[in-house]
Amino acid sequence: MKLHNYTLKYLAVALLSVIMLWGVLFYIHIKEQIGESLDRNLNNYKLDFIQAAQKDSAVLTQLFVSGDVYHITEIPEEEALTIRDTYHDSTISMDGEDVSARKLTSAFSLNNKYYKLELTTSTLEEESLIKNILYGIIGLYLALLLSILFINNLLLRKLWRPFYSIIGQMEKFHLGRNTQVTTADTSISEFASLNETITSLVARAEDTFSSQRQFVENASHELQTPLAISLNRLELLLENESLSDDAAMSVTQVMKGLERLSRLNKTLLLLTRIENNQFPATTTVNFNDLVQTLISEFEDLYQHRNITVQIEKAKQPLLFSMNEDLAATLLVNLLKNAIIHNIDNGKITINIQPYKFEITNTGAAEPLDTTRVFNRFYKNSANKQSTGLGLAIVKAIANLYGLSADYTYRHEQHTIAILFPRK
Amino acid sequence: MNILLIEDETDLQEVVKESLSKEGFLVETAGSFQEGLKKISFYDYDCVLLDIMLPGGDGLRILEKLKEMDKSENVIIISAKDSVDDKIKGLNLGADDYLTKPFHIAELNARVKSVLRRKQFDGKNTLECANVKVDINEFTVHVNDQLLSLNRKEFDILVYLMSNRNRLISKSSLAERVWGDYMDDADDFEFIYSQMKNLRKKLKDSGAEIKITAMYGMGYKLEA
Repeated sequence: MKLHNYTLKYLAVALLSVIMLWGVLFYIHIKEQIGESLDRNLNNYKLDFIQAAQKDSAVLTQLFVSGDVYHITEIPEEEALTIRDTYHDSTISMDGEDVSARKLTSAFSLNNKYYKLELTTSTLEEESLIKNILYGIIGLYLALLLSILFINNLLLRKLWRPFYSIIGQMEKFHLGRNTQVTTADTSISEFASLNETITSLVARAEDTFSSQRQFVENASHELQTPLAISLNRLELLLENESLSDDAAMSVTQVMKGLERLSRLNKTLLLLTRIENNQFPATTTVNFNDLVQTLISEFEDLYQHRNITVQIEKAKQPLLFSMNEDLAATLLVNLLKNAIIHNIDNGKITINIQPYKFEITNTGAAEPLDTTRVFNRFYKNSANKQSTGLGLAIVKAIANLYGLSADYTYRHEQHTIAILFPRK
Repeated sequence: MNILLIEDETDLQEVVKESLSKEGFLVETAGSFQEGLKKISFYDYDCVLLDIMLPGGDGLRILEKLKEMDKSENVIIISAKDSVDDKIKGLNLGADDYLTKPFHIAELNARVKSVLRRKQFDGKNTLECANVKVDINEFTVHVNDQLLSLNRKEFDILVYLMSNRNRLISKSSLAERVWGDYMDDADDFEFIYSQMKNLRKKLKDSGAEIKITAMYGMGYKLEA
């Protein structure tokens, strides 16, 4: 829930109870006032009536005077003396309908005769007045709510703008992309401090991250030359005629280890360079053509193990704008992965759709760990040919270009799909 | 033939010098920009191996100086920077080839010889070893003047081995050269074997007096 909706929710509840309480008190007060004025009126009517009756006793027979009902009965003196003026709620029949009313019971004497007077007046108008007041209160409540909503929205939106701006940037923030956080000037000290904190936090995180990556890159780079020189020296040593066969075999073992180390190092270096975005040049790559070229390069490798490769292509080619070398690296690693982890006499199926590149291969008869398959140095098999970095490179390239890489296992076949964004 | 190696890394200097000397080249070395510049001004070389990241100056400046002095040395650039820009810059300045560090010694041998051949034989690019004659431009192999037909891979293997006669060629170096960079991951390089088997058979059947032997499972050696 958005902040301004949240405050609005609380304000609405609080305001409702305040207004309701106020409304009830107001209602009770008004009702009391009206009741008092009603009783006063009734008393006035009574006095008017008695006055009129003293002048002209004919009014005694009159029952209705301007909507008020007069009921006069002659009573004995003793009874008359017990009657005090009392007011109470009652009903009267008007147009065949019972409506609420207020009744005054009184007694008076005229010409030595005693009468009991029951004076009833309709309270209909007063009721509608109260009803109107209630409507007024509800209306006021809604109007208040609406204006608060409006002011709240306007004010909060304006006040919280720096906050939303920085939140928006944080959402888009990716460590290692060297994103700059730009903050708008704000006079609110809390937000100013938030901006400052986040800016310095981001800068520090980026700094640490890039220096770490720089370290990996430099370390790989520095390792490269001594590794190569050691290998070269061993090659020269192996050419030495005086070397015994046993010694030569040992040298060979060392060389194999070094070659493996060198390959691993090269791959790590490549991985770091991809993550450091050091392949800026982009062209439109036709994956259909590229895969065809690369497959022919790998021909000896898969034919050697009697693996068949089948390519299924949609009519429309898969075109994507990216670095050409990285596109090749992506496909090479997928192909190598499919060949190296295949079985003899196995099969590789490549399916190219305009927005999808899918490579399926036979292999181990159990699924790989989907959560770790793209991790560095994740190895399911004891395959010596695997560096455990091939799919990490695939993932790194996919990440760089916002592609998704997915692994699935179905019918004893392993599939890796690269999904390209639809334009 | 004499070669100048301008390279600041002494370890690499030694290895390259030792290897090229085995091929019968006279190798001189320079460890810095100034030293390199001095040597090219005073002496003439058949080939200059030039590291472009040198203490004291940009190696490409040496290339420019060579041009200014109107010298016809063959230049092979050696650099750890495998950036395309540098490659193009170097080749535009008149370098004959470009090799990225780290490299296999056999690869350097092949490149040096190829560059020298092109210079020596006026565009003709042939290799001879015993009774086997290879024309690289024409893509033909003759054994005792009889044409031997090889496929592309077999041909490339033969050329590479002949450029490194009596030297050990590691499988990884061979794979990189013949099958391309993408193949460097395959640990045991088993796939080389079938092409090698075919090549050996063809050479034997045609009566070639050269022999390719496997060395300790590490690589191959061409003997004549």
